[in-house]
Amino acid sequence: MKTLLEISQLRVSFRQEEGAWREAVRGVSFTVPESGVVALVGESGSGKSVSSLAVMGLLPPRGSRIEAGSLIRFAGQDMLAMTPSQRRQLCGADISMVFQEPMSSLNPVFRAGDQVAEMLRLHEGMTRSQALERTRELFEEVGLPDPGQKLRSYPHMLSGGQQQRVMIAMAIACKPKLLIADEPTTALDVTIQRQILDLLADLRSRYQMALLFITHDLGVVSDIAEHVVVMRDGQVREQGPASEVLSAPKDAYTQALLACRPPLQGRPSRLPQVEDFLGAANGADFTGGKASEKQDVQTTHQRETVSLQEEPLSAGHQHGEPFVQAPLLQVLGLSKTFQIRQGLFGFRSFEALKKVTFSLKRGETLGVVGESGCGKTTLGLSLMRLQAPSGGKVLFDGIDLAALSETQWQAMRRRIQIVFQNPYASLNPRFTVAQILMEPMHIHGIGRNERERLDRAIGLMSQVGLPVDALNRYPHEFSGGQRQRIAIARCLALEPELLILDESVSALDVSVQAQVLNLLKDLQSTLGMAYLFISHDLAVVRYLSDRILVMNGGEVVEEGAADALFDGGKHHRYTERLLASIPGQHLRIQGNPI
Amino acid sequence: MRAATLFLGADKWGRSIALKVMKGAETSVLVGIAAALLATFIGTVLGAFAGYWGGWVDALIEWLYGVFTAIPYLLLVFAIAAVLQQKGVFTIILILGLTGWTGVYRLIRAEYLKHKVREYVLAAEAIGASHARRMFVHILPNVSHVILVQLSQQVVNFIKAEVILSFLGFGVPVDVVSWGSILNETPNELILGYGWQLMTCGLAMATLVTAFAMLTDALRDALDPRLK
Repeated sequence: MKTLLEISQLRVSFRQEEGAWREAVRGVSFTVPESGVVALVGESGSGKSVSSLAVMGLLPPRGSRIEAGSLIRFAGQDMLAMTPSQRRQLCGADISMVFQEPMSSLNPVFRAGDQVAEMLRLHEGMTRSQALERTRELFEEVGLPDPGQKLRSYPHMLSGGQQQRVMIAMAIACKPKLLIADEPTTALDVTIQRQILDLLADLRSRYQMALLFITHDLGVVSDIAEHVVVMRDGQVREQGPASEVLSAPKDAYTQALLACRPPLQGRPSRLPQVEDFLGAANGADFTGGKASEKQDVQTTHQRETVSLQEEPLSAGHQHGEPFVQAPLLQVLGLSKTFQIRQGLFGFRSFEALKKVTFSLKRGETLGVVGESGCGKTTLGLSLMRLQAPSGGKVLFDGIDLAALSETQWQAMRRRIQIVFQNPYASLNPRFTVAQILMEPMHIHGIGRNERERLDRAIGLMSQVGLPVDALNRYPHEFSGGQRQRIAIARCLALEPELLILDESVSALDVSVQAQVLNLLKDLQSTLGMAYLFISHDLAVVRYLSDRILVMNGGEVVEEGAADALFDGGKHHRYTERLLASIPGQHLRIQGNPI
Repeated sequence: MRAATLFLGADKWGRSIALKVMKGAETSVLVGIAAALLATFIGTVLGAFAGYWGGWVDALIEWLYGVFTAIPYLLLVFAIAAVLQQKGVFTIILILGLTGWTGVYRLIRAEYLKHKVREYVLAAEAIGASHARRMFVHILPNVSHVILVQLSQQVVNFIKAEVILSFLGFGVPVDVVSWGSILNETPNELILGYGWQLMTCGLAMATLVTAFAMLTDALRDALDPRLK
């Protein structure tokens, strides 16, 4: 097959604050054949997005530079030697790009149809009416329902999946030879992700275009790619045909990436971590030079040998054991209705929760799974009284939470805590870690004096596997995984009996996600907390939970033991749709690489 | 009017401009900073309450804001001056402070609206932090950069606003020199072609304004842990 895009020895540097230059991409080489699909895989900071931006010429002109000796060749032309205007002609017409966030890549004040038509008018020289007519065809082609009406819709009137379809329509408008898709499905729900992946595969064969697919998700890769390039720290770790790389990876890092995803079959007692594969010395630079992320491997975790072998159910923590005590948490017919303003005076009510009922025992983990808008976050917030429910009852240890006065509730708060999704947003940037950890103790009068509270904070730090000297630092100095550990430590300061984990590992890279999941398991077995684990990721929920609640449209559609959900038996229609949408199913069935 | 003995010349009564500007700085800097602190304080507190609580608290404070911005500025000054019934530096500070908080209020209210739904505030509520704690310990440091920038702008505005007050007769007493009263004298001189009093005063103001802007910028950076 002819080579369409050739990248050779690409090196890109960014200017640091001190004026020094740091290489983010260090000698990357790969090729994209005509009408082939190449996946660029890596975690955050691996340089995969920077490489693709370099191809599009979208790197910030100041503060970044492509080093001499780099080569980007598209259809035989040297792209780095082109003038900016030549390059603009090429990008957009022959190369186009789909970004991760459809909401922020569409201009909110223009109609969807006009934005696509603009592409056609610019590159194909069409008149406005011609362009709109062609846009209509494109909308039909990308599977937008009612394309005529969607032409006149503003971006906010479309759902996330529809927005991404508009972006794709825009990208294929000029029949590009190469489509670069930078995490196009990461921001979407799993069922929508499936639709978009199918659409991309379909369009590729119809238009005979090459696809450079950038993602962190190996499952997605296995579904779509023919050729895989695994990147880490700005270098290519391994590349080759997808079937080979994914089933028999040679590089230790690729093996680690494949292994640290929670598997759909079997339930290992703990997830392997990247450090297990790369060795301590190599693992250190993984978090960008901050040594603490690997420290827990050596200090707090008394690690046994890592194995992916399935353990008998009884050997894992408490799985399958019958729970005899009274439930810790009982939710009875919980409802929540939001009033949404419509028009000038009208209101429309939206039921986020419809009579949700479940119970949770001490030391147990209940997974709540569902897509965005299914009410799972509202559920978590309602339990914390961060949102007032409109109906139903929440009994915690037999006490009705809604009936408590402010003072009684303040005391109850110690027993229920919540860890939020985004560790970048949930820590006050102006507080040091010590202040963050000691604040709940102050508020609840834990510890007799500062000294005692500080001692406890030190204890918490080692409990979550962070170095003690981190206490005087601010949140921004930590990586995402470390911040999430801090957020967990803040909750632990109050010694809760129930910890609500609201998408707490969703914002993390897979390797870091494995570390945090292991930490959560360890903490549960030592502290005996109950978890309410809310997530959209079925594999992750399944890995951590004893029982699972599947939610859709504010209702519980199915409840059952975690392992039973994946046994291939009969399930609720919606659950089956969710299960079928998980990317990379055959990848997992092929078995683990080690 | 230009006396050979006087550096930078003299005004029409033969007083040294250099000395006048220096003495005037005393009053102006005091008025500017004190009034700016007062206005920023009022604006911040009202903005914090309106933005954080929303609902009827917000409606009430918004109404107050509406009243203050709806009344023409000069009328408002007259009204407050009439109530205070006396002249002097303290009165000027009160007039400027009580009328100048509206801009700060709008910005701080918007910041609080934005921050109160942030996850870190929600997290603070989850661990049981009181409303006051969330408002002033958690959110306030995160919006302090807005307050500081406003503060430095207000100082400049109020030093200039003193001119208006002097012109209206609510300025400093005749025996007190301020940059406002100096600027008040300059239009008549300019007509006669004498510009040095305006120039000297202007330079002094520019220096102070620059210095104060640098001070607040440095303060902002020093308070932001991300810039350390």
